[in-house]
Amino acid sequence: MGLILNSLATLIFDPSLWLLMLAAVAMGMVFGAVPGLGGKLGIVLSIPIVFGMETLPGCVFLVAMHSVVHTGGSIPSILLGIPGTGPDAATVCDGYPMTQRGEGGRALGASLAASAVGGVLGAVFLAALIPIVGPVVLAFGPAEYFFLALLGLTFVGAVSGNDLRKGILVGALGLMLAFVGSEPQTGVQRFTLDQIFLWDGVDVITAVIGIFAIPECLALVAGEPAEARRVGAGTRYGFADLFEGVKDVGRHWGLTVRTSFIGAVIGLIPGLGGDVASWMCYGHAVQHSKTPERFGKGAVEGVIGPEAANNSKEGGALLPTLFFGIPGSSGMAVMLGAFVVLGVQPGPEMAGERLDLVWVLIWTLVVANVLGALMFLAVGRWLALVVHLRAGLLVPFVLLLACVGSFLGGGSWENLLLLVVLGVLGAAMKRHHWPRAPFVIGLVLGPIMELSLHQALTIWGPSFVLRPVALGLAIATLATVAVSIRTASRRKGGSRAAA
Amino acid sequence: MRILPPLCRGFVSLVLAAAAAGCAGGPSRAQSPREFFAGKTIIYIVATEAGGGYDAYGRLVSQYLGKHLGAGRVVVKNVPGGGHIVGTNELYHARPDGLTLGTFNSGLIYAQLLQRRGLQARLDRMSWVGKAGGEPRLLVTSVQSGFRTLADIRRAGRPLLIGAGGIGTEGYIDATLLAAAVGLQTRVVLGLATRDSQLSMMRGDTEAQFISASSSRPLIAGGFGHVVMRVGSGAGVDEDVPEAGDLVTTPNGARLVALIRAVAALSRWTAGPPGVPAERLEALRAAHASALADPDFLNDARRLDLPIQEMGGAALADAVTRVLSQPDDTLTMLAAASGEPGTPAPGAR
Repeated sequence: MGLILNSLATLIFDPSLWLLMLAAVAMGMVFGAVPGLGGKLGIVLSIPIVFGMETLPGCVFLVAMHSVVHTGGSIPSILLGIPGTGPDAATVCDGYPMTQRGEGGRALGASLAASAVGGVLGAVFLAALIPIVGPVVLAFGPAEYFFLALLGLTFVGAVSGNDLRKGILVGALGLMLAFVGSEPQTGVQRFTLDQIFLWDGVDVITAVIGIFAIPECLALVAGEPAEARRVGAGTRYGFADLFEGVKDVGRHWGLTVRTSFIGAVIGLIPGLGGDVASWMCYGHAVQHSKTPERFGKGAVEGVIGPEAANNSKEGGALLPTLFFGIPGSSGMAVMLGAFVVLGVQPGPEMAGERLDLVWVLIWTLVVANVLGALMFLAVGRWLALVVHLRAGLLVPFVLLLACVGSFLGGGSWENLLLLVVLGVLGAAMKRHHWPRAPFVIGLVLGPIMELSLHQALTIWGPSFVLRPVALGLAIATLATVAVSIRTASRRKGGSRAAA
Repeated sequence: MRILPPLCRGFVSLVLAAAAAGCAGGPSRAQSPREFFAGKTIIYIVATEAGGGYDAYGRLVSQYLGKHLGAGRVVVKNVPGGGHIVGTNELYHARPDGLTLGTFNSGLIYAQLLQRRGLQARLDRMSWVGKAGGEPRLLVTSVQSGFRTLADIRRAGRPLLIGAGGIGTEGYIDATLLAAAVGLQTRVVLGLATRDSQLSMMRGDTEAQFISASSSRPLIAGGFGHVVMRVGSGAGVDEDVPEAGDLVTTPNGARLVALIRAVAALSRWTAGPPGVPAERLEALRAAHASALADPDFLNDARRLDLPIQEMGGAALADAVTRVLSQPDDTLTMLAAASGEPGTPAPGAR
């Protein structure tokens, strides 16, 4: 206990660390909020900054900066329909419709509170798991990844709205697009049309911008009545709107805690990544809602779920990074290199001789997430004013950001062509009321499913399904499908009775 | 001229004067390479994402290269995609004025030997500036596998489960070439980059990986693995561990091990596009050599845990040409080991 409190005292009684954290949090928020930049690039560009620093301030700076990236990333997701980072993409589904409905302030409030609570709970999770980190990390291999991804895929049913068949078709289309790129087993190029930029697959950020943001821009340009922004006295956001969103997190505290937990567990498992965490938590939010039909149209739970998860996963991802030297996410892979620069050698010995540093980093996660939320609260009201811009002014700006995000996300100009193709597809889906979230779920989970299936079959053959954790996940998958079918048939029965 | 209005006449005179000045001798005559680079911006292409070993070496080397060249600034440009091919192609087609340099995976030697689709760059034509890395490679087994020596693996009488990246990557080709050279039965689990492969070994899913000495350090230091074979020698590598070259019994096997050793020795290089003027290339090579001898550079490399094994640009160019000149039967074995369908044409190199 003495160590835990001493670590907190080290952090909060040193004014220079406060200054560093403030600078790091501001930087992290900006790197999250500019589409396509993200936390990984933030750390790379921070390495020269921390190069001459002592170990403790350097590590505090990096962890504080990286932990709030997704707090900032939700801002363009909610206000413009463009995800700041991949893990903020799921927030677009309901955050942007809330903005269109005149509830952007509330959505931002929910996002900042969910991010803060998720970040703090992720730190608590990290602290609680220190004694058992080894067995937990080592319990997940390719067999377990496969069934975890399969479980995630069942959420397609939940986010399909009223028409399950359409949802499954769109999810299958996303899965098909996930097959674009080098086949993991043979290295053969599949559906790459002789284009090198497709060798590494379809970029998720480009896909989300194409499927979600471009159709909204087109609708704004076309002046569809449904897209008209309600500009008036009632939609001028004040702190009250933001606090309303904050209160939403309190109202849905069970969802916030559950999605924080799921996010941290997914962060803990190396190889799954933040995209999976936020989409699985979005699916979870829909599945456990009594009124799932509100999702995709501006349900605040659709903001809370992914935003709590993408911040809490950072706590989980720090565990394998610090104690095994195995990064839990791509951002953590860069963080690992930066730790080495600062003289920290991640490994099992961190749990012994460097436990003081580990505790300071856990407290940094807590303090940085709270600071991030406060900073967000201070500027959120002004940021929300962007939605009052006329479509003629807003659309070019959004399109520019969309192109920048797509270019930086995929790293090549050809991604802009892909953006156009997916934008047209997204517009057609929107026009004909096809659900769009299942597409991204298929795209995100497809590569993990395929690769882990190949690996599991190579290592264990078909008997991989009998591994204990994998079997448990397989049963959970079947139970989820059964519950979805039962809920769907009840809903159908209910609507018939109402008719 | 009389038919032109006065303003146009003035413009044409200006253009002609400029052209005459250009013909009389361009800046290259008047400027020494040192003057040419002074204050200029150098673009340094890293053919992979930010973060990771190539990025770390690229950023460190380019920073000191710029300093010793007297350049104004160095901008690192990450161009990922296609397993380093996209960035390498961009570097290859850049203007050969010495202001665009870059680094990429030395495994592209295999890509050129195998005539891999998409690779437009011809490595033997590039302007080689120097290299900063090159380490021995080690076959490391997991503690859970129970294999402490090569004899243990052979006694098991079943394929060794070895983790590697995708087909066609340097790690995969090296692992399969090594297995073929020393007669080891292996089954490769794909899609496991270095760290993923190590976690997989710690879980007991896979049994071995073939990696550089520095990448193996966390596994060995953590007590999770044993080194059972090495290709090459160097600092921190136990000389008592059997060397693959001593274990091969056939000339073909010896050639394969020599190929792995040659490619492993040529890592973390810096190159420019083909056709960089000779005097500028010399200046770049001199700056690279003095950068790598800079005590501050060596200090930073130690802090970043980046082992340095310097080679000058001229020697590097020769080494690249040599390694690309493989006999046809080695190419056939390489094609078989890499999983490429078909054998490359004799003219591949």
